[in-house]
Amino acid sequence: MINALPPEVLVQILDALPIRIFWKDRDSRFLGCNQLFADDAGIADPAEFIGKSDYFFFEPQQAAAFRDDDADVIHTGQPKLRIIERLTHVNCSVRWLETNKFPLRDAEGHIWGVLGMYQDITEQKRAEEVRAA
Amino acid sequence: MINTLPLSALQQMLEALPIRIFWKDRESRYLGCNQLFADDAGIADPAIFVGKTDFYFFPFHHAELYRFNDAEVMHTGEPSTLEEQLTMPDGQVRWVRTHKAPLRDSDGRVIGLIGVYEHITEERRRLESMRREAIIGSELSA
Repeated sequence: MINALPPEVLVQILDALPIRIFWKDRDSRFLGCNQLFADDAGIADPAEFIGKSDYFFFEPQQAAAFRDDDADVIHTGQPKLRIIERLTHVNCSVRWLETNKFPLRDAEGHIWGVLGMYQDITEQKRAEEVRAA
Repeated sequence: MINTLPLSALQQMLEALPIRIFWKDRESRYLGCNQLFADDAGIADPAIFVGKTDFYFFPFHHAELYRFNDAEVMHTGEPSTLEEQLTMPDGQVRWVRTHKAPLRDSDGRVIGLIGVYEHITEERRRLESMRREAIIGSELSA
């Protein structure tokens, strides 16, 4: 039923949600992101990301892991869902993320990039730890 | 910026999220919802919601409050985030955090609203127990 909603409404909904969104070309260079994604990386303007790779913004090990997942999605054409990963936040706190990645295709079905979204699940993880203790 | 993404990509993102989505007309009648939203109300098919109001699906006092909150968002044209209670099909009452925003036509007139909610009962319980521990702690030290 979601496909009955006009694109501007989908955009409104996504903008209202606490999710981080980014997309990249086939070489894992950023093409765009939303404000929350930029905020997490400590970058004021989302436009700063365009044309740069993860290595510019994140620790090398993390950047390499992010790019590995991108490559999987771009080469297999299959989404990669519920990737649980850690991100060192700009203020040095470690956050837990749940990430989904999807291939981006043109009208002919050719993959031109990868779309990622994540939610910060740190609070949820903490609650689980408290319960387990 | 995300409005430059293809429509199918926007749809995929929304479908991957564990969130409940519904939209209503200016009179708070349902125009649609996603599967998770229907599941929470114990309704198998989202299409059953179309044209009906909250009174059809939820206890009177909850339906009344939902519609009151809808009316406020549509009247002011401002989005709002609020915590509401929801009675699940098994009778359990759960807390949800609902975000409501006006739906506008191309001339900017409000023609309805979109709502999105997530479950927060666990979160509230945790905050509640932290608060209780803090009170007990301060009583012990007194």
